[in-house]
Amino acid sequence: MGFFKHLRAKSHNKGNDSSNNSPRRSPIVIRPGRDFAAKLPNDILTKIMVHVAPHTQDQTFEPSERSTAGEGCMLCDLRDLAQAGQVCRRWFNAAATVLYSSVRIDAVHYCELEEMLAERRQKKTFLKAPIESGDVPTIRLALFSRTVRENPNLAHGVTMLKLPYMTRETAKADLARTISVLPNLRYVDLPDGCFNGDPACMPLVHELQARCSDIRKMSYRQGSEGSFEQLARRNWQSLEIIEISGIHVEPSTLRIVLGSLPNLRELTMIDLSWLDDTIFYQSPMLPDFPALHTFALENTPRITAEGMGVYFEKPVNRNTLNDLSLNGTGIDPIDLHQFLFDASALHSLSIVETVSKSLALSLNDLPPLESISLRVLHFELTDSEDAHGLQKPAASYYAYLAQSLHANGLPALSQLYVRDPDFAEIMLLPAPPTPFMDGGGNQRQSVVGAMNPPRGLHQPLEVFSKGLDELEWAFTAYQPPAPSQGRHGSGSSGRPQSSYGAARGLGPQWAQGGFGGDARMSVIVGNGYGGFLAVPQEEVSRPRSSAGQESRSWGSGSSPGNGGGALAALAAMGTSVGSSAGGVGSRGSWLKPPPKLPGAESHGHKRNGSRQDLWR
Amino acid sequence: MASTDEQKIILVSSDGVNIQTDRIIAERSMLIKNMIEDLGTPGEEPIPIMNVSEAVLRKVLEWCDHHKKDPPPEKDEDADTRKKTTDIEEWDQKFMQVDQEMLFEIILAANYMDIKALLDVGCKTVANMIKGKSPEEIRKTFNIQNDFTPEEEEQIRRENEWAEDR
Repeated sequence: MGFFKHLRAKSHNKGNDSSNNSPRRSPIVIRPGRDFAAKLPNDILTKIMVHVAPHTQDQTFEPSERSTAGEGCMLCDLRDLAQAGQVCRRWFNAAATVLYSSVRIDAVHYCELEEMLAERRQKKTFLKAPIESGDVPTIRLALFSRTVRENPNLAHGVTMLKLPYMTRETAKADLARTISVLPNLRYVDLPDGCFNGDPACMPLVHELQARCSDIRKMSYRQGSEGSFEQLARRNWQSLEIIEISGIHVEPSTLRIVLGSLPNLRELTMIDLSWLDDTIFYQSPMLPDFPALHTFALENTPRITAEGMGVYFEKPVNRNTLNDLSLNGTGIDPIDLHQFLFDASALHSLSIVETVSKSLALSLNDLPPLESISLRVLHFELTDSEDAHGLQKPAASYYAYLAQSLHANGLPALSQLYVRDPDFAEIMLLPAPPTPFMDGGGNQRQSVVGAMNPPRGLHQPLEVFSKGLDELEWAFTAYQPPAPSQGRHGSGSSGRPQSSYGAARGLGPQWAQGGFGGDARMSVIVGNGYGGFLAVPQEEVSRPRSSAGQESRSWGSGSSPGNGGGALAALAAMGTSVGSSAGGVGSRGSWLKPPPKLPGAESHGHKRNGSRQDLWR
Repeated sequence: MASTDEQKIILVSSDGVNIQTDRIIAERSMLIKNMIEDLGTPGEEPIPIMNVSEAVLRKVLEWCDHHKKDPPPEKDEDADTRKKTTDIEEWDQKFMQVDQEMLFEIILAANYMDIKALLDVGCKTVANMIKGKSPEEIRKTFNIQNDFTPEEEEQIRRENEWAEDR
């Protein structure tokens, strides 16, 4: 042990040299004699313990590998917290409530200590067999199991138990023994076999059903039909999150099981080819399909917009659903309007589809997407492989989306994700004169339209776009024109434009002339070095409003060239210029691609790395 | 009427000293903010801060002055504590370089005056003093009396064995 301590002390000194927060370098003067910490009330002492090991505050129902938080070494924090609990009785109480709540066993130290520990394990050969590093978390689990089995007070505090993948797969018996004494457990990392009916995992599942009535999340995959039906026996009445994927049950069974869970709020259904719209229909014999906060459908081709429409007919459903995700369903993006407006609590909508048929001919006759609650929209459509020809079908869907935005159909939207690198360009084109009004019969139009000025986009919007072969989202900030500025020509009224770049990104002199003045004659492109070049318009022509008018049916009737706000460059601090190099060449678009300049390509984009990239 | 930014108010420490400060600085404390809202006549009546002595109150106000432009604290507390781990910004680290008596007084004052960010900084500072130390080293650092019996100490060590390095 002494040798071990020596190692630990060494490692910490090493780590502390580079860290400003080091406890040892802390110049706090220690006066002998008085215990000032004794004055702290218990809740503050507990708060201090939380800061010793911040990962103990993890309350996410995600497996350990997907819920790492912070940058510290969680095993070091855990050890420090355990040590703090051995200081005195008062500190023990504070530390134990933190230590035995959200428990996380990690496989390795995320610091240089791991190397030394690994060396030490190998050196043990003289007295003991060397320990494989893979066994360490299993040993930890066994020791943890011993503790909670011997001390029910500690066991009752445990609500979460997270384990490395290998440990939960190999130490099933230890895991079963441990959870059998944790009655307040809400989430535990389970081996995959528990989700697909593997007989080897059944004792563990039965133990969980019998002892842990407060479980909040469960998954059911192909093969677990039996356990899924057992849900109706009401073992886990606290279940909040369920994932169903690839199981085969009677639709009525599904309804009965879902209806038996009073706290269900999040449902994911994947790979259910048998699932169709009838699942949403009311039936006197069966409980209704539950009202959910979060609902995700993936690869359920027989669910259509009609079914969703039925779902949203019930007020409790439409007032509850916040987050809807549709990936590979039978819902055509142009049918979203059938239920989108009814979903009055919907904040986030994601639709991921491949499309094979262009909308070009019917574009003007479609009712717009309308929702007054929607804040985040993932509109990720890609062309299906059998789409040939110059007219790419997805492009027409994006035009439809742009039309809806111009028509103020989505006034609360603040973030938009599209799989079209040119979408920012589409938004710069003139708003169509009176889309959706041609039919005249749409009453909804008057509802949303009446709340907003009639033309163009009127809210700031963050557009995240990504080409087909790109990995990261390119970010474009879109600012509506300030309503009180009267400098725009009449031809530009309501024209969407970014007023962000000129005044703020380039300096006040650019704003002086206004967009209609001399500054209007330049296009701002990235110079590839973080700055921007002004390119006179005579040399390189960019798509202007007139270009849109020629090629599209939506060109405005007013004079296009004079449009004061026509091409407000999005050259702003940290935002991208709309010229996206990636996807331009690959698409024969009805939109003219922006001119390419050497060095301007792709450098202008600020890439916002997706969360996955940060994942360790 | 002066704008909120320039308004002066008077605080009275527990040892009876009047301290004048800007309203915007004092309102980092939710306790004072709520009091001002309840009183309705800011600046006229001195506000007593019952549990905080002059030296500590001046120190707390120094922190509030430096942080007066910070955005208001976010509602989502859990996410906050999880993300930030134990990082403390440089100015706050320097600010917290005081003797232990003052450190714990500041924490108590932040708790009483309901200044969440300052309380967090104080707790993080103490947490950093705990980290990397054995129980005996922690006792020495904070002058804490070991009140466990040897049996209890052994039992707790055994219970916490799963969290030890191995």
